[in-house]
Amino acid sequence: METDPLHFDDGELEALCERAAVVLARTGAGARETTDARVREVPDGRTVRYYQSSGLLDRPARYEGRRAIYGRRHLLQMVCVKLLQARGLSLAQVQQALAGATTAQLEAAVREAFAAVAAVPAPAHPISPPLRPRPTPAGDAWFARELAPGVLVTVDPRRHPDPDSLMRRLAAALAVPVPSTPTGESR
Amino acid sequence: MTAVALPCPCVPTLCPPPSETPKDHPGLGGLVALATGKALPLREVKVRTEIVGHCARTVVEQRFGNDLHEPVEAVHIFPLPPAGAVVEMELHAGDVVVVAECREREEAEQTFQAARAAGHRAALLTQERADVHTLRVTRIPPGAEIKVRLVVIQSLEAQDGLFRWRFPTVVAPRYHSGSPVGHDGPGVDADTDRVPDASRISPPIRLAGGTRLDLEVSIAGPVSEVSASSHAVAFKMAGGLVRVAPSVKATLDRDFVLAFGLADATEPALRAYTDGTCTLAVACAPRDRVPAAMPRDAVFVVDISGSMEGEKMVAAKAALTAALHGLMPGDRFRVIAFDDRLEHFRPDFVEYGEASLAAADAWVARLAPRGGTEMLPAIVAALSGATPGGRLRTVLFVTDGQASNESELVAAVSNRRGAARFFTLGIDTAVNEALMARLARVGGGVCEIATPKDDIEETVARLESRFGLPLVDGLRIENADAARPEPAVLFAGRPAALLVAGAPAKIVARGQGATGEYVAEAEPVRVDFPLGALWARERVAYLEDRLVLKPLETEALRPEILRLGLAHHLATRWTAFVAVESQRTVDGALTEIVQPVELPEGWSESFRGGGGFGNAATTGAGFVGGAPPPPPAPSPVLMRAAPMMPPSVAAPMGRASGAPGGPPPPSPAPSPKGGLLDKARSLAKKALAPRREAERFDDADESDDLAMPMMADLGGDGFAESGAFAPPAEAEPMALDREAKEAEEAVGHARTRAGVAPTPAAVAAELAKTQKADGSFGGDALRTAAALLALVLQGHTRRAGARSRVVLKAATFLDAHRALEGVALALRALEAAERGETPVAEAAWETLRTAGTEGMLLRVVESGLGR
Repeated sequence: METDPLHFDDGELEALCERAAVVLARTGAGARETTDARVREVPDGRTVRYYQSSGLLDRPARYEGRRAIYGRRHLLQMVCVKLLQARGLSLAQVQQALAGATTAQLEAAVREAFAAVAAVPAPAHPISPPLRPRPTPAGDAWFARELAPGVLVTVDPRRHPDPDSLMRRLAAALAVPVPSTPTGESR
Repeated sequence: MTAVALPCPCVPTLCPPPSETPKDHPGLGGLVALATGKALPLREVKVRTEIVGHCARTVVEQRFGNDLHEPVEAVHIFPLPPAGAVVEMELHAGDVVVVAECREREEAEQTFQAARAAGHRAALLTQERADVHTLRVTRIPPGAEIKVRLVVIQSLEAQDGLFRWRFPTVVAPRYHSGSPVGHDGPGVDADTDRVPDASRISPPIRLAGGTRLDLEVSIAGPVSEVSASSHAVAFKMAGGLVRVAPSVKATLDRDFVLAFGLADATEPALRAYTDGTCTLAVACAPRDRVPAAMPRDAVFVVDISGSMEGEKMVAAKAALTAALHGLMPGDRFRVIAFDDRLEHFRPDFVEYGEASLAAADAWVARLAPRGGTEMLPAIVAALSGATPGGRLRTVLFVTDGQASNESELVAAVSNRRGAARFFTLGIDTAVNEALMARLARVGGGVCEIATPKDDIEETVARLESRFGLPLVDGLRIENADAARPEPAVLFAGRPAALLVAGAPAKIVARGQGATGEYVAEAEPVRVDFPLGALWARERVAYLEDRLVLKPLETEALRPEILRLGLAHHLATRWTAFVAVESQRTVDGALTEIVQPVELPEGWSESFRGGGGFGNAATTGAGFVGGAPPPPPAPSPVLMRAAPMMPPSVAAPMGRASGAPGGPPPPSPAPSPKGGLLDKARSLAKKALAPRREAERFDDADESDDLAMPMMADLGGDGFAESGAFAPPAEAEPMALDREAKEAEEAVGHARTRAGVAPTPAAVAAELAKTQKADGSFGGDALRTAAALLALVLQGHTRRAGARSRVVLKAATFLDAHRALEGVALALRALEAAERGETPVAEAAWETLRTAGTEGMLLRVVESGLGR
């Protein structure tokens, strides 16, 4: 049973960024629209600062001591900035677009992006190019898989004998499609 | 809190591939359409100022629009002149005009909220700081506009013979000390434990484009000279008025700075104006007085925070070097640089001398901008330690003033200075004048403001002539209720404006001068200007200082400020203007938009990401330290129109350069056509969709020929397209001696500085820079005499002129060499000038004209003066 990925109870900045990354993965932002890494990256702390100083992100919902607490609207704003950038808009244009955008508009935008991903037939080839095994100090190859665009998960097969099942469980938890097994995957 | 460790993704993608325009991807819930089809609410700011004598009245009109399908509430955080008083507000909605009422702030806010809830169009003006205001305009109907008109009054004083009027257009990013504690206001930075109103004074930063500024100033003549240092301007004379306006499109990205002289330059010791209720008295220090000489313990403090990056840092270092060279034998000095740490040139004061000066110069040259703007420790350090008897502690504080903990700083200067004199030099395109002026006022010194494009050495030279004790201290108006009960001071070239209640037939000012009592009298002239409101504004400023210094008196001071605000219809911290148009209702879900404002011209792009100060408190996001994010990739959209901002040329140089053989005349303001602006536009057109055009100027017509009404009839007599308007100056080409290479070099320096031609003023600047610590030039008596004579011929003496310090030092050095004929000649000329006579050229001056570089410069001055 999938939970609403746009559900975000008040949380600190770190949680907000993590959730935004998950939502963005689900929209596939960037993967089809642009190859620009800067656009594809999920937001981090400095990005948030940039967004705040230019008003792309509302002021925090409240403060708990010195901690700023963010809510669902912040999540939607953050995701929409990335979605608009992925559509080739400059941040200056994004600023215009988001000035005065209602929460309903923001949510509609994200839902539309979800729907667009769902409508795209499953890719004939894996989302990510085959990954080369990554040597560890011990010399063993780790299992690596791009769980969602821009999200790379690596697993030590010595400690998790069934990495594929682990991936499926992770995908379910994050509400993203299960990544297909890249060909030529080294175990 | 840990930041996700990813490469910094915050660099905006400003140049999408041309093939992929947003039109190819409609949708995203309509957001994409919003990005391209609408403008931000603030469409234009129109400013009309009338200056008559010492009084200025400004009408500011802010026009807001709404391109959404629902009603909008626009919020604009903006600056006004800090000494100005907002006395009127009107709401213009369609053809309805509503005059705003001045109410207690809470009550005004409630009225506004009720109007908003009822669907009525309304406007609310609140004052956050002496300079920072917030305008809220609610229920702007879709597709409609609302204008808000403000009237601001202020008084002006001449500084060194020139009136200066500065109109701020943008609140620059300010550094907030302390830790985030909340976020009450509409701005983008968190309130901190030390700056509880940070969120009210921090507008969002605009990522591209700007709002058009339509500004025109009219000055009642006769005006002797006019110049604007931060805009290319055009002038027009009509009906005894000089009208000045930017000659190319201007936006809200820097202060408009106007300097003008009135032909009636005789400043009487006291001048008074009255409107029948209150009296404005302008007291002027007598020209022939010299402040008491006292060896100084001079502290130089320079801001090396991130916001100083670029030309500001260059200017601040030049200022510091010039000020160091202005010290006198017998003085001691120390230099402190600060960002969020303190750097000391030496742990304590050092004696002023050739070696310490050279070491300090080298130390200053190495300074580079870094982090946050923690001013408090720097102020504490500058005022710490005892000053030995018989010495005067002076502080020169060089900064852009972009820190928000104003109260703490004012209290620190006031409580710690003792007998010290605290001077401020503010350098920025959008300087925090409110803070700089207030620190100097409580510090018993004076404030000097410069833009980075000003001749900074000239500015310091002006400041230098005051850098010590005032000419008159304890100045009061007799038997009058002064807005500011504490006595005023008079420094050379800096008159004091005193506002008193009532309209007595005669005004008498008394103070203590260095050599006895100072008394001046004047009969007030009747003027049609609301001096009562100005008096109340000044009294409120005084009470605001008390609030900072005596926080325990808040309970007693609040009702007094409130009473003054309500009685005089003034915006204060506790009174606000509210206007409601209740005839019509505008239904629909209301959307609030906080107007993003431009990054001030010349500021580092890293501030566009909020990272310029590299500090936690500026964002409230809880990030501490770290390098600022890299600036966004250069893009046509972000390119600034360079031709908009040639620094104007100081007035007297305007005509001097047409001389045959001289350098080419200053070019008129470059036309936007074919210039960088044009280039930027064509680039933008090529790289991006045509709609981008509109981003540069909201709602601006697309014509490159600016439809400035007053430009239409330019061309008659008395016009100058750019630079300065001035009466024709008698200037002759100067004959440069081919043999004197060294001199040519010095002249070359002078020429570079002036930008046009080696003028006497530039020569004076060059001399000030090359003078040795002992007052000599090259340690040579004759060369020093030549330099002295060059300065005397320009009207600089030990008592008058911006270079009085250089003259004094040179004359002191020469005193021991009177036996030399050349030296005796120069000293005689100086003494004659000090008696008010014009030195007459003597044949024997020829000895000086051949005395090295300085002799060369003397000839430049002589030919420049047409002798």
